[in-house]
Amino acid sequence: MTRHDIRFRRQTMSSGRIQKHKNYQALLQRHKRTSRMRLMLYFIIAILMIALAYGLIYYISATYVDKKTSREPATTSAIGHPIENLLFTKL
Amino acid sequence: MKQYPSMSQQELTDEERLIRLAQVDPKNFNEIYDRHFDQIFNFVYRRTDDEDLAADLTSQTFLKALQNIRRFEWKGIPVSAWLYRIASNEINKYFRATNKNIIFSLEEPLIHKIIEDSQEDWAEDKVPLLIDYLSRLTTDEITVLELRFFEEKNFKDIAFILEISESGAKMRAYRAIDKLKEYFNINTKKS
Repeated sequence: MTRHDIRFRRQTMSSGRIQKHKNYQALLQRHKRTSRMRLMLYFIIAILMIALAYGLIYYISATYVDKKTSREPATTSAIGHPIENLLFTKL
Repeated sequence: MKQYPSMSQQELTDEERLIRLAQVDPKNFNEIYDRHFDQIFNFVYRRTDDEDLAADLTSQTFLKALQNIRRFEWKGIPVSAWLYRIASNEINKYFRATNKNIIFSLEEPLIHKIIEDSQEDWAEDKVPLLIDYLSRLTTDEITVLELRFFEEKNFKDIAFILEISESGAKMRAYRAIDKLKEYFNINTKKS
């Protein structure tokens, strides 16, 4: 059960006093500022996602090429470039 | 129990038009802000008993409303109920974060008005008793009573604000009233 206090006020808040706190222009400015910040946050997240996707693709393709080359060394050395042949025979 | 009327069809159509306009351009939100500011401020003030905090939370409520106005789907619920729901969530969030007791600050003139409306034989000395008995209710029960009698909301709106079913809201209100009656009966028997 949540705790609560009951208080008793002698008077209702007057309309004039409430009006003091009313400021639509300030609210609109705050809205613009937060919208801009939110947009920037989305932009940063998008860049990070793209970078992550790029890194993932690079990693997958690099490991795939590595596996492929380590599986077929003979054929590669037979038809490959002389320098490549030299490298593979050394390995 | 006194019946608080729902909005007329004309008023609902007008509200729908205002929402559509605000969804097109946030600058048009001005009219919604002007219409409901006092009501929401009073509600927040009643739940905080702190003028500056009420101003901050009211501002936060309207900011959230402005940010989400495009997502608002018109289902015949008045925009004021939607604003009350946001305000209620902001108030709860504040009290959870600060770990303070939830406050219900009730105005004497409004209590007297409710008593007059109930047309029951009330003595002035019963008001402090009422305050004492209200503090014995659960927070959920007093929240429903506050929305019902101080904010003059109908059960459909209360259900929407508190995100409960309409029958659940009615049950809470009647249970709270029964408890209050019971406390008063015990007190009468004692004296």
